[in-house]
Amino acid sequence: MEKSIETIWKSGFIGQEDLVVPRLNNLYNQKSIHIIDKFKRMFKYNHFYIYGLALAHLMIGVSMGAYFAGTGMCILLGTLTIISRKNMKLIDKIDWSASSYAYLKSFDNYLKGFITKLGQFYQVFYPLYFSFMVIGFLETEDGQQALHKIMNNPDTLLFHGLPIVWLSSVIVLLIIVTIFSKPLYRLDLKAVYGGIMKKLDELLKDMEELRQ
Amino acid sequence: MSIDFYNAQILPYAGIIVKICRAYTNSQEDFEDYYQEVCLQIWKSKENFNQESEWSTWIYRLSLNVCLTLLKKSKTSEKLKSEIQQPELSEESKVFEDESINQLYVAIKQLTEIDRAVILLYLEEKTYEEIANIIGTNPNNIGVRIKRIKERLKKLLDGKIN
Repeated sequence: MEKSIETIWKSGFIGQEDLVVPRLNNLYNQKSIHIIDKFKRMFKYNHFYIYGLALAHLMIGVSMGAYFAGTGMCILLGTLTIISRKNMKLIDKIDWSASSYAYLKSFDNYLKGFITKLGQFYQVFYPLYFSFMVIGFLETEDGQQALHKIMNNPDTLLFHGLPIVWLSSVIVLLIIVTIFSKPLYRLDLKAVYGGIMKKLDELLKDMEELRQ
Repeated sequence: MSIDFYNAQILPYAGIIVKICRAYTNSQEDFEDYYQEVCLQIWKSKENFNQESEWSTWIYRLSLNVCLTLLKKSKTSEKLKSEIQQPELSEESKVFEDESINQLYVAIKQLTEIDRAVILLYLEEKTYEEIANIIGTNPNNIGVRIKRIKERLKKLLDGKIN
């Protein structure tokens, strides 16, 4: 006679000895490896993205006649990738043989250092990028025409041969960009790595609690 | 997670967690990952236990939620689906000493994710109300659903268990 599923279930688990419970000692090892691998992957994709962006800036600049700005932006983005890649190589120097907590903590310290270094670079990056944008505009045909128009206006006040209104606007904007370069960088960082950085913090917090 | 918490609050219910995790995994490695994640989430969410339900019921709900979330995340879910389409009992599936239980698990894994949860809770003798509460559905159609699942399981097991 066929057994019902209820009977199979009940009789199958009567002794409960089959229910071998896994050990919990490996609880965070996998998580640590997984999160760092994810960071590495994200860094890698980001590098490819910036490389592509650098190339796109060069091509767009050249196609619009903004040779200097296009090349400058390309070099600027290229430098950003080189700095980032150089720093990324330091991940491999973190001691793998250490405990999950020590490994993750070392990675967290590395990340904080990396963010600070990159933050310093971005303080130069954003103002330079903005400057190239302005130069790029002036290099284009539309920019030249606009400049020509304003220069031909007898009411235009000039300073060292440049219209004061334009010059002062650019300087004010440049100062704003310089002042806000750090918050801009943080915003950029949060948009790309915010989610995974939060996970890393949570994981470290859990592990610290576990150690206590 | 403290050892005391694990021993007092999780270990007595480890059987429940094992049964649920087994239904959603196909390898020992995945099973251990799922089990550990469930334990971790129980520990992390323990403050959310509001004592409106029993601790065991809360563990059922949390275990199912964790397993379903992990299953969705898992890239191997497609592989899992293709594996479970083969009703044969692979070596990897022979995790229990009782052959009938192994066969039953193979059949259960061929059900949809929610049907697996429903039948596991039914086999653990939860009431329709409790099942509906844990799954988050209307208790009125639980009975019909269980009847349908049992018929499907019977077909799947037909001739395999005497």
